[in-house]
Amino acid sequence: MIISLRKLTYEDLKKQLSKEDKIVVWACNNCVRFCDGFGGRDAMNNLADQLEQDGFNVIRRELIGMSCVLDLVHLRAIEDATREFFEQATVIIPLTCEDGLDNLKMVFKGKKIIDVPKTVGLGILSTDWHTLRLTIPFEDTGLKPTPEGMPLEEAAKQLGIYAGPFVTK
Amino acid sequence: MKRVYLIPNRCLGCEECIEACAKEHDWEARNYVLWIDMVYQVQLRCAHCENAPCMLVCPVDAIKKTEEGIVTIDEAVCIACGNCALVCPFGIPRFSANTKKMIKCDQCIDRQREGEEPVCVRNCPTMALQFGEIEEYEEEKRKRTARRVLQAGTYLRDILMPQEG
Repeated sequence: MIISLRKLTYEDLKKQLSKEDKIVVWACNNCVRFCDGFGGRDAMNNLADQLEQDGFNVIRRELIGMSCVLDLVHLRAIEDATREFFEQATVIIPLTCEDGLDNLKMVFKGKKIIDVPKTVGLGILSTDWHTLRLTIPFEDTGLKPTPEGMPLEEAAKQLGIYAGPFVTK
Repeated sequence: MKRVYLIPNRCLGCEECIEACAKEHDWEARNYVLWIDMVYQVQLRCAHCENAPCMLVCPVDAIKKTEEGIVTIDEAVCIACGNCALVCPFGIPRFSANTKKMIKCDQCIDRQREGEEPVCVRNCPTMALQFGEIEEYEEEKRKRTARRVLQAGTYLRDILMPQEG
């Protein structure tokens, strides 16, 4: 699976939003769900709840099976159930990998897509760990590949970014 | 009768089927993805059984089979007693807090009547959900097995490998 970390803290994220924004919290429910819970339903709901508590206007919580499948992203823009939300939205917060981010930028042109994710390599999910570990980091990270893998929190620390969800409850 | 079939080793548990189902059915999904040991996932939905136990135990005959063979709940008649949920071997019918009725998969009967496949099948990114006649599915499986037998040659133990995706 793909390993994605996040470049921003919740405070950094808030600085990129205004109270007038119509926000969509977009969460992928595949690899990033296991990246210490960076994506998935819980991360999406917790972030959206916190934003609403802080006075922001979240108009839609969108969970998608795979943001890396362009057709599925495009479907959201055209199908009756969701089209209106995305027409209204001014900002999309992606809890995805960078591939998902690129697809969002491609489909929702003209919307502000916050640059949240940093994809750092590939990892393995095991019944022993119950979470992903980074086993094959991308070369540009400077991290070394190891068969036993590296916990994502440690990888994030070494790269000066963050792992896991924006908000935990 | 056409049914939705799951090829388990293709399913990644992304829950796109659930999201698609919710959008098609007033934001209430009628299928499930269950995670076992947080690593293995199983998608569950109504099997539209031939001799459906839910239909047999419904005291008000709210559950009927359509001419296409799809088992549906008539929400106008349902009294939400929950008998269907108790007897379903898959645990599919559930109580809707919105409608105060029992709900379950209707295999997107409206879409089917317009010649389209159910939304869960349309949206499944790995094609783990297939829609077709059981005979087509069985024939396809036989063809896959025949290919494996051919590939395996004399190493018969190889053909006992789990099914290919």
